[in-house]
Amino acid sequence: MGLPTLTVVLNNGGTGGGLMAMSRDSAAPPTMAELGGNFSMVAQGLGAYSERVEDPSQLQDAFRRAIAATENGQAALVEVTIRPLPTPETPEDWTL
Amino acid sequence: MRGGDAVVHALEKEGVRYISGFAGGGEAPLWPALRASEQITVFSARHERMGVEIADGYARATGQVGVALTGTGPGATNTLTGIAGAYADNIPVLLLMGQHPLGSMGREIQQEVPSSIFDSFVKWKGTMSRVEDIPSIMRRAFTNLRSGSPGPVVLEMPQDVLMQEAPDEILNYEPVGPGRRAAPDAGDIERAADILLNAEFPVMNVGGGVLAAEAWDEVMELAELMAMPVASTLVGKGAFPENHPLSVGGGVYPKSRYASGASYIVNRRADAVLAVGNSFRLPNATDGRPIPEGVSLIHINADPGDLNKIYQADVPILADAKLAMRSLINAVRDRMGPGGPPSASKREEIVAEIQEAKAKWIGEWEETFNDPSTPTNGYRVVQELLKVVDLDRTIALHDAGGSRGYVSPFWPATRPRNYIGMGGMAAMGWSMAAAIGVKLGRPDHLVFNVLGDASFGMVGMELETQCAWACPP
Repeated sequence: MGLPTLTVVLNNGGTGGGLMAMSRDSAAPPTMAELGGNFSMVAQGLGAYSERVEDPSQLQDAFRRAIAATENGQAALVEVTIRPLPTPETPEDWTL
Repeated sequence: MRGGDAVVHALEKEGVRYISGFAGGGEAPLWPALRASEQITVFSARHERMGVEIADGYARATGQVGVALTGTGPGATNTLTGIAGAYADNIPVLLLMGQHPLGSMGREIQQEVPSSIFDSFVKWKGTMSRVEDIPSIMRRAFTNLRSGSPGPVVLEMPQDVLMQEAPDEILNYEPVGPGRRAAPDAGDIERAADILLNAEFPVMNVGGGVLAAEAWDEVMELAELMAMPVASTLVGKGAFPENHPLSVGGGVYPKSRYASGASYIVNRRADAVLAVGNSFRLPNATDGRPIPEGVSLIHINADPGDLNKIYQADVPILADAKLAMRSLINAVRDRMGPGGPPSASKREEIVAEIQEAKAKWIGEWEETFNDPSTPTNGYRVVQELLKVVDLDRTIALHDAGGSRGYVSPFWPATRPRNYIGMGGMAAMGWSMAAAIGVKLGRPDHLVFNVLGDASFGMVGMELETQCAWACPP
């Protein structure tokens, strides 16, 4: 029995909410919002298949390779560098 | 038989196959029987919290009890976050907690932690203070785990009690079997059926209680019978297939977080709401705004603590979702009369409106989904993954923070339990261990989780738990 899953790490270099709010005086300072790490390298150190993707046009191929790894019994991690965006909030007066 | 053997004997009789956690103080008397067990596999997580969250994921993906193990002291305090998450979403997780010998408790010795730390986050808790009580405590634990509204159970096991001997006939265990379910009051069902049939535009909301009771066939049957649009809470996502023409996706009445555009359109037209297994927990199962005059609420829930909590329902129904929905379907059919179900043209009108709203809403996101800039955004990442998987063979998990927004409104859950929608506690990194539990219970599916780097930073070592089981050297 194996337990290989696909982990997708969205790396925006910190807490998304914190990064987006950092310009406000009332928000968390950079020392709380900004974090680091290359987690695809960490994953390799733990024995997983991993890739780090920066160009979104490469995502589908990276996912296909990672899924193939899970099908071969190896845990897989795809790390994608992103910029944070807000949680969806459709306006109250949204209509057809 | 010794007490530790009796605990393992009861777990085997109840059909337990996996225990995840970390070895620690007080639990050593379980090892001889666990090592000898041909049924139960015990494996280590990299942190006690993760052991609980593996059990949590297993329970959510299978409907079975998930079992975790910890020692006392820091191990026990580490599990508290996992137990709180299971409690918030009504997930049946059993935590076996090792403990110091009875005579040492209360003396503030090293690593002494009382099980009372769990008091606010368990459905039931038991302490094995006498070896001969072990069968009754195990019986009560599994009855609580499987009956009524689910929730976590913690069993505190003093080491000396686990080591005591008692005659086999006293420690022998008969399983409680499947859970016991409460049927609805007939008068409540009649009133609910009358409201639905007299409504111009009834809608249905489904929550985690539908998944727990496996009432998805009944939800489908009533939705089809009455041409009712169906929305889900975050935890209930997948209880109604989101590729069905009557699905409006996430976003229950009156408004909740992670709502789809279709739910915005449909909810404001409703004059009767049937909420099934929805705990109305803020903000993912309502934003708390009042229900307007003229809108009737029927609320089915297995937990009396959830009825008349946020909203005073016109018809609160204390019952198992599956039994209540079956009774309601029968009552609706009895009352439909010669006019029968809504006309085909009315159904087509409702479906067309839902589809138009979905198309408009998704259309407004296309630019984000296809944004070629670098670095990209989380919405595009999820859409690119969506293009390369077989939805019916894939189970998705979101995590806390931004990942919920990137995934949950836009990932179509086509089958029950193919989306694991954690909601009430939202602990950062929950999905990392929960995904392992999901894979454990549903190994024939692709299981993926999406989480942010801050969350991975807290729990990333759990990747090694998978690799210890599966990865080539």
